[in-house]
Amino acid sequence: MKFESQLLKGIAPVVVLEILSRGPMYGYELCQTIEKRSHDILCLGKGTLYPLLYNLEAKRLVSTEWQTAESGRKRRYYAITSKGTGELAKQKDQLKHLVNGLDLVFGGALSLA
Amino acid sequence: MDRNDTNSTPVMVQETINRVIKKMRYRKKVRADVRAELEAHFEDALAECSTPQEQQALAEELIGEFGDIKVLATLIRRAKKRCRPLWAKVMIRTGQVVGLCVLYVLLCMSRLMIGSPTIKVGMVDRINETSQQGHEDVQNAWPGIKRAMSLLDPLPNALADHPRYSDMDETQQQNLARYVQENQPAFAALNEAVKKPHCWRPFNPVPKDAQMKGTGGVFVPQLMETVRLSALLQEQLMPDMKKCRDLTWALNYHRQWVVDQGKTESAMADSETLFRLGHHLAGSGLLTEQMVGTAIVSLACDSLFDTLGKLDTNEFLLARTQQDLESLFRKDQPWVELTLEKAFAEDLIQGGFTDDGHGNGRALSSGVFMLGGSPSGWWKQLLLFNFPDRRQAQKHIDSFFEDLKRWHMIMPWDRRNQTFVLSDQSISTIYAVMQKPALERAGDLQWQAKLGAQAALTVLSIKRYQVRHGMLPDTLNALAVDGLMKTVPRDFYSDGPLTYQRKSDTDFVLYSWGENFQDDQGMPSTNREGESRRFGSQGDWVFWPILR
Repeated sequence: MKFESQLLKGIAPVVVLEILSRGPMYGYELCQTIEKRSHDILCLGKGTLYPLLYNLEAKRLVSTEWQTAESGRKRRYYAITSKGTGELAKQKDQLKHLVNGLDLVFGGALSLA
Repeated sequence: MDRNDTNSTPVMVQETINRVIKKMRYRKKVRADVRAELEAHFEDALAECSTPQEQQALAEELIGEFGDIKVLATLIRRAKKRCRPLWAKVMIRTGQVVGLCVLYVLLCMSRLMIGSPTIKVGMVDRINETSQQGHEDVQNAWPGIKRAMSLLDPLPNALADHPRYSDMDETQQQNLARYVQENQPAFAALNEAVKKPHCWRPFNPVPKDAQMKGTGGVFVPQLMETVRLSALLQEQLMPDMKKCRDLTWALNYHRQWVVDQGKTESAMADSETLFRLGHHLAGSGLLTEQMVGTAIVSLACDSLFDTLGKLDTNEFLLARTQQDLESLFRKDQPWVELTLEKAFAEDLIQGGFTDDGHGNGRALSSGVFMLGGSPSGWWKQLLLFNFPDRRQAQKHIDSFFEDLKRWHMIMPWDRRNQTFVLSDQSISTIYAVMQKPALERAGDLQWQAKLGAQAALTVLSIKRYQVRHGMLPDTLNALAVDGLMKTVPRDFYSDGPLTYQRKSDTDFVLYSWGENFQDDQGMPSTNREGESRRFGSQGDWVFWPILR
């Protein structure tokens, strides 16, 4: 199932921060992890991913570091910062409220589903 | 180079990355960074493909997932810009603001640069006409004064510091006697010249290519013609003023010499000549001339007091001198005359504004000196390039000189607790702010000189009274009662007449309260450093007895 891009755009930062909160990752790895953990429901367009990561970096919610893998390949790793952790908590809280609100609107249909 | 040629990814991937990087249009280092990251992304994704065909198919799919290349490049560029450190953001914003300001200023300045003034009246002609005031050439004392200056030998070096005749040794006195005798023709010429009723010093035309000393002829002449002319006229004036000063001192030495000879009449005549010369210069011309004239009047006062203190006189001589001086100083107002200074200001307007043919015009670059409003409002006007037009500037100037005239007319005592505040119309111009201190001070000096003349007339009257009655008057009122003075002489620095105290039948004290506006019981004035001064800021201005 493909989400409307605007819908996904709103939750993409919090999804990325959530994944990064479990450990530093490089772009491709992050993309794969999101798909895997969401059972392919959430699939960030690659054209969205990198600008999103750079924006999070600009807001100092993530930090970056180049690392060289054993294969000799250089990758840029993204890690959540303490500011990012705080922002994630805040966003998660808001998301939870949003889901609760939506659930109430739909008369519990969301929970049942 | 942006591209990594050692990369093993398919060509179409490399081309896609190249297009993204190219369209990013951003700093080289950032582009290299993004390229490396995108390459790593594709390499990771394609690593699991076992055949080139698989790689090709997956690469096409991955490229499709990236969407529109142009949009991607734009989004990356925007995001990377946000990643800039704060100092870089501040620098860039500052640069942008400065750039905009420069652009704005250049745009506005261009308006000041376009157009040219219409010079209808030449500055020198205007000055010469104004100072002549329609008088006949034969009434002008200046050519005679100039002749006297040319007849005078340079002051000997021994007189450079203006020592008193009585302090000189015998040889010096002999040398001085020879000098003043040899220069009798100069003194005679001066004596004749100053008897003429008017005095104006005509200026020579200034050649168009004449430049001010020290400017190299580059900046000032092009920016402001009036400044150039003003400086060039001062250059014409200053040598004459120096000669005038030498002539004054030389004549004063002549007077000291004749005092030593006991020739009262000749000494009094010399003092009177000095008074006339000072009066001529003080009452017209440029401010510089007027200030020189004021100083000569002060010297004339001192010279008269010195003569009266050393020699006996008769009533006839005293009365004649008094009458002559009264005719010179009959005007109540100070002599400061700002017509020519105003002519300069009007020339600034003429050269600083365009002329629309109806008496108005807009400011050119040199018209910024006529900026109006309060000083804080200058910034607003400068920033908005909202300069007054020609009519407003003329109004500012008219008002400024009216204010000055009004201020100069107020007796120092009456304005002792006030400061000179310009009216709203004239407070503003940069010109006014620049000129105000000098013009204000000129008025003060004129009041002092006038006070000196007043004191001289009073001493003459007292001496007449003494000759007539064999004793000094008890009060100055006695002079008026006796008809020796029309009114009791006013002290411009107190609320009453000059302070007079009779000490004995032969001794008296005459002084003004001076600039501190208080009676210090005749304590001679000093400057703030305690040095003795005729018109010092502390103590009283003592005219009699004569102080060394």
